Amino acid sequence: MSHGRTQTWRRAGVGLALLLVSACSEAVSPETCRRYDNAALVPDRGFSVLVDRTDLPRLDDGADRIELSMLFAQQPTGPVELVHMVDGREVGRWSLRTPLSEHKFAAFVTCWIAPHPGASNCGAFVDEVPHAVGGYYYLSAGTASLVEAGLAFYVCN
Amino acid sequence: MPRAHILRLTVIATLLLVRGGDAWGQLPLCAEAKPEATFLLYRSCGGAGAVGVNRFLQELSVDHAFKSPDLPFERSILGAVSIGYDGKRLGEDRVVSYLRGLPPIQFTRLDVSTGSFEMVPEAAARTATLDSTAATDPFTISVMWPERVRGGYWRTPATLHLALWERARPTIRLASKLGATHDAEISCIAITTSAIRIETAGESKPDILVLFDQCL
Repeated sequence: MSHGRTQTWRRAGVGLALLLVSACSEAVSPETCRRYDNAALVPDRGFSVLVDRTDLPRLDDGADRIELSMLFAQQPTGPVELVHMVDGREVGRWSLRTPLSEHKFAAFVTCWIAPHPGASNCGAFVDEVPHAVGGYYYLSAGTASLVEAGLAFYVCN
Repeated sequence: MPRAHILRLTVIATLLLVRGGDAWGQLPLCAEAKPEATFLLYRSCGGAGAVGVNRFLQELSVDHAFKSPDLPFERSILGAVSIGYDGKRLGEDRVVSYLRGLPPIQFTRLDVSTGSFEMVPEAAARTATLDSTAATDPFTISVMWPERVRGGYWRTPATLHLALWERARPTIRLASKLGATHDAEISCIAITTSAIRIETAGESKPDILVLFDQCL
């Protein structure tokens, strides 16, 4: 596709965005940040998962973060603890104080665990960077009313 | 064998083939875009898109997690594609009117994270060419639906992946007023609070990417 045609389609794409999702900017930029949806943490597997990949970028700075999204049957009463292990060695343990959900039942909470405390919303942050994200993750506490969780990484160039 | 069981077995078999082994229900369905990938890219600024997507995903999670697995739940396709939109600016756009007339998508839960979905458009609605006037840059979209739109879905509280089975995918042709056209067979749709990525079949076809950001 020629550059001109590409530009035309970028403009058409912006138009489609306006129709579908109320975009308010015609600016076009490359994808500088990328989200890696990695796994669902489910009760059948003890809320654990192996992220068996070596091609994932490392958390370093800026907007980089681990995202843990959770659905609770009821508002959680204590912290949730996420543990990250690599080759049998613990490389991260984060006690997450979950913010109050607007719903008492079916409470949704998303925790950002970022290298900067200010960019983390559940009181825990990555204290050593760069942080390689591959390895084994499990929730060691706070799962009494947890229905499911999702683990994702958000990394910017 | 009941049809629902056949569908479930199809989903299981497909996921096993695609992902292999022991953690099939835990892993995403849509393939990741290659690092060098190019997109038909647009941005949704100001947070309304992300808020709308978040609400959509949460409501879907409640239906998926708490309703009986034997009772399918529904979403209108207009609701699914216009998440985050306030609706006022859509007016009587023909594309919107067309989408409003389509039957709802039926979701059937398989396990904590996965399920199948299906939509059966009426014969008269399976092919349409429509002018959109609500967009800043007006365009024409032609859409062709198969007899049954079918696929599997994978989700977490913050993610929804809709993978369309081969021969059960819609195809679209976008034509701008400047003459450029883009044909795409939609193979997977990944919805998160960060972005919506519409994956198209074929190596040479760029995916469509809607980014939610502050646009600073």
